[in-house]
Amino acid sequence: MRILERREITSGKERQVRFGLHLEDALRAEASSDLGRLYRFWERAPTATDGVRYAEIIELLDLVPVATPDFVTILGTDVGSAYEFYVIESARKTGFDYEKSMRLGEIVSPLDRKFQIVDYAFAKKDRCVKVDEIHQWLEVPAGDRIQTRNYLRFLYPLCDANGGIVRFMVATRLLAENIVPLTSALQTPLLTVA
Amino acid sequence: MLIDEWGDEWQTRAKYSSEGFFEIEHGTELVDAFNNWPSNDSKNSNLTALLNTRPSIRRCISAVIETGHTEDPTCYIVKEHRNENAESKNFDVRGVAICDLPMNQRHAMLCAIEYNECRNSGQPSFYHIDQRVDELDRAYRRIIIPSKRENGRTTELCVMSRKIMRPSLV
Repeated sequence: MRILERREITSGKERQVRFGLHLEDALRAEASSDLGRLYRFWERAPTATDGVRYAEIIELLDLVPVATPDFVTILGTDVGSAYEFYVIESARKTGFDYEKSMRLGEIVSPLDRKFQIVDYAFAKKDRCVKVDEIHQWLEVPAGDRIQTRNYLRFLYPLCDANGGIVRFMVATRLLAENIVPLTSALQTPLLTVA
Repeated sequence: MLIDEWGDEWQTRAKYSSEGFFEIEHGTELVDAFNNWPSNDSKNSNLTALLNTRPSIRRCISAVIETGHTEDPTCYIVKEHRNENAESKNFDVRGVAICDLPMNQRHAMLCAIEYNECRNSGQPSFYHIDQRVDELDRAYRRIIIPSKRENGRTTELCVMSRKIMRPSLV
């Protein structure tokens, strides 16, 4: 798996590492998963001049549920900056996640907020599908244990008739989730996907 | 601590507590300038006039940022800027929003986020930044000070910085 970029942030006991992955490699690894199926559906959708798909794909997906990723978010981006991007739909297989209409600038975790704002700001500018493997270490309220969560995330910028990026479709697959002692959480992360 | 790596470029940005920062910056003009910063009750609201009477502080100031007009940090405006990079000396960035600055956007976006955190907390914040961006190597320590408050909101930030030499830059 080729890594295009790596970002890491630590604050107190919490930590996040995000690996920006090469799209082709990630697609090869996800060929048989829901993320791969969703990508192939997205690939067949009508495109604007520079290859960005139109936001109508969201309604198509409602009609034709081609895939059920672990977590899907539709984000409104037809506003000023990434701080103002807002949640339109957010659903996890096990229930709802982000509150509707919440803005990225309102995300409670400072680590998560910082990364989300940067990720979406650049994804909107770059106008192409981005794939990241994300490792999170989240503090558990009771003491010396850490919740770890690794997931793979596809970001799809979607445009309106004028070509402006008005939505993001975000689909993720949970790779691993665990609660571990703080000491083992300090280890350097390795990519989980093949 | 934030680490950002892409291609052969990178940046690390470490946020310090005041105690930790004063320990590593002990005795420098940056800490001296911070210690001479006027307390809230004696602060002159006219920063320019204040700085003219305090050259030791003025020397350390790298930027003054206007934050009162918007909730969007990328739209904060650069009021004053001391430009040290030969490549960008021809740009006058006064009056320019953070998102429109002629600089690396990964650096600019993180600056906006850091300014926003300082503005919202209303407390000074302390950073060590080390980076190779746009083929430029630099390392510096920085203090962001909420320099003006109006109606309970921070409307202006003063950024003081000091370049430092890491071994690979010597």
